[in-house]
Amino acid sequence: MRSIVRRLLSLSLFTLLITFSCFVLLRLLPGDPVLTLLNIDELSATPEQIEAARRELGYDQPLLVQYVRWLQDILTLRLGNSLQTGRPVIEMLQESYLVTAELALGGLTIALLIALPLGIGSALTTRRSVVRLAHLVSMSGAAVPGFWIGLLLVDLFAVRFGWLPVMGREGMTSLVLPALSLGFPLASVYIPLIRLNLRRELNQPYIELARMRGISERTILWRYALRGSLPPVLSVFGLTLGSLAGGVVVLEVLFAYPGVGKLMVDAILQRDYPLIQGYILLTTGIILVLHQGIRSLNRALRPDWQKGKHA
Amino acid sequence: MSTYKTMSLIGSVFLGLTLAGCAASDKSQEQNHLTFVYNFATQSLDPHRDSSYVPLRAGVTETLVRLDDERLTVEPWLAKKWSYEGKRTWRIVLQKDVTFHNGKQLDAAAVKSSLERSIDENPGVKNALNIETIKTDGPDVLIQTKTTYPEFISELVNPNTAIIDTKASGVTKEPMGTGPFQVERFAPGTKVELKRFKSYWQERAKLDSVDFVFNEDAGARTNALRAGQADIVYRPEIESVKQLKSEGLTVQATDTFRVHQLTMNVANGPMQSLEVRRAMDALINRKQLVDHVLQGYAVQARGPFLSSFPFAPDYPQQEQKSPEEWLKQAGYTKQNGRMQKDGRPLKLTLLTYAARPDLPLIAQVIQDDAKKIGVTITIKQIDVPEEYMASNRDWDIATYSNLTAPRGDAGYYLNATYHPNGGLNFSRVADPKLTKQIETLNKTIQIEERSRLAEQIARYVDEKRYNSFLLHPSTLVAYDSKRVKGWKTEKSEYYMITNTLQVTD
Repeated sequence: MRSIVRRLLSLSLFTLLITFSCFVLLRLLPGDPVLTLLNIDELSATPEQIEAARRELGYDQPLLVQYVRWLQDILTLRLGNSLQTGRPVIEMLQESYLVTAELALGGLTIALLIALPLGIGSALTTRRSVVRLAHLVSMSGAAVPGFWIGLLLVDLFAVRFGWLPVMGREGMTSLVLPALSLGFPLASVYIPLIRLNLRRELNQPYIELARMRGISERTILWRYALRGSLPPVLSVFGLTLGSLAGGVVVLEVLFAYPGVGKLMVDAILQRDYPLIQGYILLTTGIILVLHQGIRSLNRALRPDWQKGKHA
Repeated sequence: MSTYKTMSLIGSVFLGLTLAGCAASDKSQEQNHLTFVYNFATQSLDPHRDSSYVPLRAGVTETLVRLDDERLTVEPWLAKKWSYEGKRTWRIVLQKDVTFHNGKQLDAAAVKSSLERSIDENPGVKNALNIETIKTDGPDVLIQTKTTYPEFISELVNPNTAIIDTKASGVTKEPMGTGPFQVERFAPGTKVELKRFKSYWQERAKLDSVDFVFNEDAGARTNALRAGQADIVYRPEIESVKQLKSEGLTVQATDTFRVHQLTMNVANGPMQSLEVRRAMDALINRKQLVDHVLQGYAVQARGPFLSSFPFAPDYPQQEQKSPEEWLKQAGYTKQNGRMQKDGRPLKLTLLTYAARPDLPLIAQVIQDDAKKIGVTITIKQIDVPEEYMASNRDWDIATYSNLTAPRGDAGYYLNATYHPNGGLNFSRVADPKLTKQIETLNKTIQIEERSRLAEQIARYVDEKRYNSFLLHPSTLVAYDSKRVKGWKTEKSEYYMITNTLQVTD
């Protein structure tokens, strides 16, 4: 119990530190939310009016006062209102995170569908054709950026064949092209990772022992080798999830998939401080939870790691 | 697992997903339905806050007055007529039999409440409208401004002053406007689904429904049109124009109210000299900029306003001198290939920014042309021009882009740019004669007289070369003209989905 409390306390302190540093850094960036809000490019505003608006929004206050005010907004659980839309930040982030989660899930599914068979297949076989295929897919996924794959897929399946929507978010069909564009480059990371770890695990003495005891190859693969090779893959998976939680801006713009990445680019351009701060808070939280989840999963898969027995 | 099995698994998944895609409904080809793809996205449909103006552009909301695209004058809309009553007070007479999408009647109280909300919600609108009080007088609305404010009526063209039923809930997702279309569903950042408003006060919309889709990628918008998944796309990819035309699609280019200009810092440095400013102006090859940087999709600018505006002046014949001649007149001589004065070479700092991709290219062309006459220009890339130019004086010239008369009146631009208190007076112009002219304009109510004064001011600014005007960029719209009828690209870019728009199959 005490360790849980200590852990929660350290996580809260870490979150405070992250949000405060971002709060300060944001204010150091060029750009003035007041000018954007007053739409100075289209509407008249005298310097006095600009200063009055700044006072009204509280941006003339010391940074610490502004930060404490933002912390008070957190307590209301609305995270304040967006400067641009006036909508509660929490509501806007919820909508966007849902879209990002959908896109990330689609991309990861595609990535695993490609990486698992190719990674496992190339680790198990000695046939050069399979190893070469895995290598080719992995190299091309790493070399070609997702948006380029997206453009090619759109040209082929949407413009030429007319089978899939060019853009938008209308159920499963509109997820196909963005998920493929996201999943293919992601797979390139996992194919060699799965292959190398599985091969290493298959060469462990305990696997030899299992073979000598007559345990079937299928059981050895699924019950022992794969399980043993998973923790490093899961760690990278955790990092991937973390980066996906931040949004996939290029693909979101290309496919008009309104995820959190695009929302943040707009918020940064418009200096929508409450929205950016809300995003930093939630994304930090999500990444910490993911990190903790992956850690616990790894412990469950390899209890020997925790005990420091792993070579 | 064998290679065959691996490939089969990947193949089946891919095929499954593709077949699923085949089932996608092609809504753009539905009868009497139109899909419009716009180049900005919005997270909120609140008409008083949304800076993309989607509710007005999508035909959901309407303002009291609108801009006529032919004459570029302010015309009645929800306001039938208006008059100046003296004592800074305007009487607005409303149209009869106008209802909001929820069936409620539009009346003076509703207009008052809506305008008050726009002021409360949007500090920019609060400044621009400059309202002291709003009162109802039977069926009319009486508005008193804080100061004498002749351009008040034109400020009501602003889409953020749209009239909505403020009592209705859910304004960010379903504003209750009076336009020909009402919101059926809004997916923030993705699209607005619209349906015809059956009780529209003017002729009912010809379309049954419209999808107003957002996509900020020009290539994706172009692809949507080519794939037949969109009927009209706003700002397609310039590079694809030829291809679109070859595929039988129509691409319309229309001049806009925007001007790309060279802002001069007249507060310090070499640009304080009129001759140096004239030299820079003479240096600019506007035709080259239009043809090569904007690929022909722009018109050369002579002044800040599009020539079709009633207040755009006829400029007097200019003294034809080369940039070198102007610089010589300013006391510069060419030594070792460099323009110098008192032993100091002419070196200028030119600001530019990437938010408008044409501007850095224009800056490079100017830098190159200046080098040919012995003037060194250093280009400095900045992030936020308004903030940088307002608080720094370490620059001489800047490429900048302005909307000069977005609501059909010259007052906004002239005040903002040339009045010492103007929010966009980055040149730091403080010319007593010019200030007096602007203040006279600010007290002049009569429209013809305002136009005459605005012309006079624009001519004076031209004479003094406080800024140098480069070009008016065009807006491109691509659509399938065999299917879409009644589309018109408006110079104001305000009115897009209208009751006259239709599709034929």
